[in-house]
Amino acid sequence: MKHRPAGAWSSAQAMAWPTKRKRSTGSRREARGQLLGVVASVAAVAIGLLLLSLSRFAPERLSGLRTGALELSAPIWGAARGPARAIMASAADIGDYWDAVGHARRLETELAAAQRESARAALFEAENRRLKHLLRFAEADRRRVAVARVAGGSGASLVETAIVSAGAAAGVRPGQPVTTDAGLLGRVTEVAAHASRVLLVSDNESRVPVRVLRTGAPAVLAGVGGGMAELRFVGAGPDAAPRAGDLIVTSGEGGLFAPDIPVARVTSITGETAHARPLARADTLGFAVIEAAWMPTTAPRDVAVTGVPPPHPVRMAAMIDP
Amino acid sequence: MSQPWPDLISDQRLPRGPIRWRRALPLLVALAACVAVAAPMLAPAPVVPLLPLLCVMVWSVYQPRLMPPWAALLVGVASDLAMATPLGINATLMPLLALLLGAGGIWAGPRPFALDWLLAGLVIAVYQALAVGLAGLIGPPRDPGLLVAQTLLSWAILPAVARLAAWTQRIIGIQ
Repeated sequence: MKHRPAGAWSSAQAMAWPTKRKRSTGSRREARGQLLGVVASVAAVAIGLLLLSLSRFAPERLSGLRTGALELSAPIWGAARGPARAIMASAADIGDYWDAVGHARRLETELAAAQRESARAALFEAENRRLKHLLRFAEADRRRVAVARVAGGSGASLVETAIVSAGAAAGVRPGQPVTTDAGLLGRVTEVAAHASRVLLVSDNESRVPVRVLRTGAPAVLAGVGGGMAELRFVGAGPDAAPRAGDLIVTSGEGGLFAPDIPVARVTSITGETAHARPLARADTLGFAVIEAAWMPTTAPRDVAVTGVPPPHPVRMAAMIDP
Repeated sequence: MSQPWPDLISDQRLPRGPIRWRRALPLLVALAACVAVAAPMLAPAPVVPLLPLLCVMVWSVYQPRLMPPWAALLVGVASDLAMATPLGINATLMPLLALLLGAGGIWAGPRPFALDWLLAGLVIAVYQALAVGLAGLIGPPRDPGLLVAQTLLSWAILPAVARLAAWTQRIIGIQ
């Protein structure tokens, strides 16, 4: 008998079909779980990419999801804003004591300036009324749709929006202007049953037809983010150059925003760009007014009778203003 | 349960029974963070820390089984809806982040928290840059410089979020 070294394999053993490795039930379940985990992970990323594509090419398909989320989130912050407002008010009260004397002096200065402006405004108003009557110009009234609490903000996002706690049930519709006591806040972009999202004037997507109050020069106020906006002038001459401190008001062009709503104040001029800070942006935890879209109306009977186009409100405003 | 963590099967890692519902706590906390970032604050620039992102990051690194990519997808969708960003930006980036951070237990093993914190700053900055890039593909271009304060604040509060996650983990009862 030939001696074979220990551990050597015969050819029959080497070619034999390998025995099936027995795996425990636990490890099989583990492997199946891992496979499912990988599939679910890839599916999650794929769903994210699908949502991204829909946002790019068919955003209207996602509007139901967005309005549903609005409806859910608005009441939460609507309820939480009470204590938050109390805390902020207390902090503001404490701050007022620190700066009481300086605050009073600033107010006295502002009051004197406001009294002078008020006297001038009364003169202009009377003159304005006479001229409008002369030209039979009928200005549409601003119609208030709803007064709502600001129930959400965008302190974590580059997209500058706010949520107000009034929606379709109160008559709010996309596109309607939203104002605060400080001025124009923005316009409604999404409407749920009891909440709406407002695109702020300072958002990159916002464009508001405006004019410089001092010169009457028409312009477009374009949001640039960071709570700021830029003035883009439409065919204005060199005399219409804005100055820091100029007040910007809506022009009424386009029919969405009523004319003469304060929007922003010019903060600085860089080359040919005028930077402006919206007046309503610092209004936190307050109320907002949603208005119906303003459409300029003129005397229709005169048009029907004479066939002469009515005077345009923007040009009218430019004529009346000094 | 004295065996090392990698030798345990999934059921041993996450025991069945009455504490199973507690596995949803990380997801619920992250969803609550989505509501928190929609606070009614009209700041001139984004300053509220990205709490949902921090939740996803912390859980993906320290306990990836409790924040799988599909859960991160839900957090991402909720973040997009709460922050009014185009739907899909956070919904794509968050599961991708969970997948990359949680894959293969690459973060397993002891290491100083300071190192994690340092790397997290880099991850947050890259995440923000990608988010701005994707937002620019869908809408108007945005200024990434506005996100510097938010990125720094998010990085600064990461230890607090990690502590909250550790506390949550103790509630869940997983070693």
